[in-house]
Amino acid sequence: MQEWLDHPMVQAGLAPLVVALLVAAALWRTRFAWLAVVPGYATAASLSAGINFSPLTAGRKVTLLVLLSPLVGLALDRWAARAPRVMPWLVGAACGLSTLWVFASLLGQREGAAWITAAAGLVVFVGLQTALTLRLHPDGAAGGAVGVASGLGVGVAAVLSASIGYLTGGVGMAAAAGALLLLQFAFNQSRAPGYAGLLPIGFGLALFAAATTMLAQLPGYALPLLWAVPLVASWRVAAGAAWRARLALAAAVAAAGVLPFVLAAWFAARAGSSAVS
Amino acid sequence: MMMKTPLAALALALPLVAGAAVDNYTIDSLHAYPNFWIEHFGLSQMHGRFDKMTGKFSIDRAAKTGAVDLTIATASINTGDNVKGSRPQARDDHLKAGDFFNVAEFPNMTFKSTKVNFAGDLPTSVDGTFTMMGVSKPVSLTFERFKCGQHPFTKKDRCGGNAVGKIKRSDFGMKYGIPAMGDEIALNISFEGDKD
Repeated sequence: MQEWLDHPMVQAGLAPLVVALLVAAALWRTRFAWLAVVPGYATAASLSAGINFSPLTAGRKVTLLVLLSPLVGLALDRWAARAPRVMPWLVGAACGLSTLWVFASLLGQREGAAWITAAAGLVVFVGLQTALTLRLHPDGAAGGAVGVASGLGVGVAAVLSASIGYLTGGVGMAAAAGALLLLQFAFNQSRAPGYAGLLPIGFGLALFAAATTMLAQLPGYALPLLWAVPLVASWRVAAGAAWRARLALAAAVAAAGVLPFVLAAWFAARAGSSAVS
Repeated sequence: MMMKTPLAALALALPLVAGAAVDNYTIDSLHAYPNFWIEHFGLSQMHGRFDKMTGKFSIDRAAKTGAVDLTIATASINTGDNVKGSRPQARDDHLKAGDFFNVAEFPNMTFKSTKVNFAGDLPTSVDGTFTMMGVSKPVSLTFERFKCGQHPFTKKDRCGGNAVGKIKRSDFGMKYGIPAMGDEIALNISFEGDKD
């Protein structure tokens, strides 16, 4: 059993998928089914390298924020209706600014223009990725598609950039979002992810990508390409089609949207020099 | 008065004599090799080293005390696989990234002694605190060899040797790949230092 659980494909893919399926199925009749995303991710994280918060490194701050994000999302879901258009951008801005705390120890090693460039880049990337994803909060098809496509994209980019940890995190998140897509497909019913479901996906995957840039070798110029995923997923393709058809189309469109990001990571890995400094 | 002057001179000289018993050395980074190995899939031992180590050590043979203070640059890790060729990354790139040594956040690891143990005039082991990835744990290193003499070319007094010990990387939060890649890291630190 332990040997089985030590296998990377089980840690990153199968185990989070099964856990998210079980949790989401148990919560299916409530509006909290999308909370299953975080137990799925937590399963991947705990099986691969364990969850630990001391000392509170940048990587551990990322894990901490992802684990806390559904709680914040639940609170936001109560207020979101009051300012539906503005709320994703406000939350995105707050998430973007939080990167200054997350990556403080790494930004602190830079001075002047290098600090400003890195800090501004992180704030803008994470803020926009989060906001663009949160705009999809009423849409179960688009939300799930973004989770699967972005998660797989971040995972592949991470392994190309010398980070197995964020491969596991990204693919684990994708598997958990995939569980929600599968259940929606199986029950032929949409479930709105809300902020509780999409904050861990949008904010979490943005943090994974940013951390792969700061702690491994993903080039910064690849990051904005990840915005394409929530942007293309927001297109109302086949809006009048049957639910299952729309679900499949949304997943396909989101998968296409992540290709530029993955290709940028691949070209950087092919062309770059071998050095993490 | 005649008696007092030699006594006063002796009293003044005593601290100098005591001070003179402590020999301080600076690590010669070009002759310092912090090596390590871990188990790989239970099949073989994978060896590596850090190319940059700096530090100081001191010995008081009369008092049988000493001190060691080492700093190892984590980004200087070298396992003989640093050219990626057609692969996305080389092994050393992965070891430097967040999964292992997280060199961007923790550029150094350190060892600071708390006690040096002697057998006769020579140190046999050193107890101290090893700090890696922001975590500090007590570690003991045993001197397999510790010799002092004169450098044949520079004629400077010089000591050298090698110290061995073991740590568990999971104790320091480096858990990726366990158990496929062993938890226990065997250390073998070879060093030479010139007397200051």
